[in-house]
Amino acid sequence: MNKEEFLNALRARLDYLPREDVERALAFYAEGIDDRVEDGMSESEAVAAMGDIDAVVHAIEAEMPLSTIVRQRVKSSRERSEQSGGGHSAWWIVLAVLGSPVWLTFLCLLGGLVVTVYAVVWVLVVSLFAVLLALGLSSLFMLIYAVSRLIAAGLAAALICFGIALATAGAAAALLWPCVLLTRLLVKLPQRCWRWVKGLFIGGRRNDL
Amino acid sequence: MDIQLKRGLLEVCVLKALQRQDSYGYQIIKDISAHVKISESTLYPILKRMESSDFVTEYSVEHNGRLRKYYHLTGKGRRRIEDFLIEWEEVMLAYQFIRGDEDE
Repeated sequence: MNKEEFLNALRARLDYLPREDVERALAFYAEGIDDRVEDGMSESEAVAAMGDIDAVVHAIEAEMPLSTIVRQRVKSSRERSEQSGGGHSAWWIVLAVLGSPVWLTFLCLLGGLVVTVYAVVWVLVVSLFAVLLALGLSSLFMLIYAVSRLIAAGLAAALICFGIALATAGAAAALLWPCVLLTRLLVKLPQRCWRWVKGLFIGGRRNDL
Repeated sequence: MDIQLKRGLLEVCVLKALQRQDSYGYQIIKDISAHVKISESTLYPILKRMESSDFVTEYSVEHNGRLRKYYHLTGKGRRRIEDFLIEWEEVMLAYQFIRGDEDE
């Protein structure tokens, strides 16, 4: 493939995106090819060095906001259906309206379910932290109580209290790390889900950046 | 390598390649390739991200009758490199610990 063919193929694959972004990307890859040719490579070698065209397209799409991709895809598919007589899009609208009691309910249900599950997991974390706090506080009070027992009832009673204080403090320390890990995971989860949803639109691939 | 980790590392590699002087796409790839594998399709999104985060700015220079885009490291970009080095001191300590135990 020569430079012209590569750039044309790339333009064809990206034609639904805003023009400015397409031109910018094409200029970048054209410069890469020109610089390699200047460096002594043949044109076809330079084009091959740009990598697989799917990877190139994906790298450009992955940096676009999801809203732009969806908007542009809808726009270009509408333009295409208008060119072919507009029959399809009218049917789609009729179907979407007629089917709305079904898919709208389903969508709301699904959204509600996701939010609920997420909230429940957060509640779990909050209660874990409450247990942690309770353990910490009881350990502290047991320690104070141990001092008062030492004065009122002697060494043996004070040692028992001190032992209980140590045990509760230990339990609190053991719980701390799982709590922190779970919280971190929950904070990252929506971000990962969002990337996954975006991957569905642009055909996410796992091994590129 | 973990994708997120590699992405973060490559970003700082790109900034580092611009530290001594402004540079352009192919030169950046040549400079980094000696250490980490990188291609145009990896570099393009990184440069775009670095520009929108104000770590680099870009300008065009005429070269052999065509325009070549140069990238310049900003003060914010320089600070990003410094922050990276400080953050990774800790990672390297952990690495040495994990590695060292076997030899002893």
